[in-house]
Amino acid sequence: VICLATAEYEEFEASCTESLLGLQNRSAVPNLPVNAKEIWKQLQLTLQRALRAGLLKTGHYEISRLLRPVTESAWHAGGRAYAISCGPTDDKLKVPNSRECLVRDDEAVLSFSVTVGQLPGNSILELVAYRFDLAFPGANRVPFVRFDLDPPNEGHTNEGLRAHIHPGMEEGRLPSPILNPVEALQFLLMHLRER
Amino acid sequence: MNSASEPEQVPQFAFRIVETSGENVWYVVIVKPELMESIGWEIASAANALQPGSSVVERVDSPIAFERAVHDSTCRIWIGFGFEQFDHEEWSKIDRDRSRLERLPGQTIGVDSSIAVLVLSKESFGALQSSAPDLTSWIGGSVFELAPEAALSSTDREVRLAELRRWGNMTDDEVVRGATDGSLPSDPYFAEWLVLLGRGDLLGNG
Repeated sequence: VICLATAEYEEFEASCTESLLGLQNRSAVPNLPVNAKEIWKQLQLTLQRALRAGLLKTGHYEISRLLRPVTESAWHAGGRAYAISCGPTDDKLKVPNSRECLVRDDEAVLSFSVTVGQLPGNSILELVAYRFDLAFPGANRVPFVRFDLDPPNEGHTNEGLRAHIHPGMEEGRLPSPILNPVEALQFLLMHLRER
Repeated sequence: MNSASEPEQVPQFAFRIVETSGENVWYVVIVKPELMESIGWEIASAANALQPGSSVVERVDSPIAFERAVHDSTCRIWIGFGFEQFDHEEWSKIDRDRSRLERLPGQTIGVDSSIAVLVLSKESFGALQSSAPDLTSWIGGSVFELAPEAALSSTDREVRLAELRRWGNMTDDEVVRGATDGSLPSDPYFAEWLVLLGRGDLLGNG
């Protein structure tokens, strides 16, 4: 338990934060598709390819139903923000019901939420936030793994942990590069499996 | 029109045709005239993403070009557009000569399966139906309306917001207030929540 509020602790904490910010800054920002609709298409194609590859139990019609259409809103500086989500929020994820969730062939349950923004003039798409959650219902030693990108200007940003991975612990966060949403989905469909 | 009354999106339709097997299978997709070419390419692109090399898309400008393009194609899925100029006589000729549209067993690369997709407007599909009854019978019920993009219904939006409220144990007003005064906890779901509320303006840039 960390209970030191000494000058040494604060100095060390600042040094850690600087290192983590350095890590995020030197990680390349992923190239994104030209618009949110294209991200939506690529996410759906990725799920369909996983289904054809035998990596998903959830069927074609359920995938189409669970992957919600792009929702649009105003963003800052006259831009537009877009949200794409699939599957329920975390509290429902514990039951591998392939009608309600994306269920992998090994019963792991996937859900995600992606928010992007685009300034006027068809400028490049920017990642605002994402969550990719893979839950392992049952007796797995690691109950879930989660890739998060928190919205900007929030608490984690200054700790260098805006992009992070939860390795099965709500409070535990590992530093992460900012991921392309399609790459994150591909990874969670293919990997993190019990041998 | 197929029994599924809701328009499909391109990736859904692409999955449908990639999963289809059989010889001389015909589909019609109905789209707005200004979107026919782009939708044709999008279907081919999506189908090729699902099954590399499975699809080709071509513009046809005459019945002969149509017959040759389909007949000679070695891709499993042939997608065509450009039928808007075909008149009654031309569709009738295509119907009479429809055997020229069939591909030989084994002609397509990799698998014994040949699928043709005609990208049409409602008007050109009407012309096909009235002038080419036998081709219409080949197509049968495999007629799909494609929508360029879907929107989240107000019901589905409310269902999702209710999920987010349960997850965050907060009201919409509390989320907006928290985003405004900077007290909102840091979590990706709040970004989606604000967009669903139409308050994405409270999000900073990435």
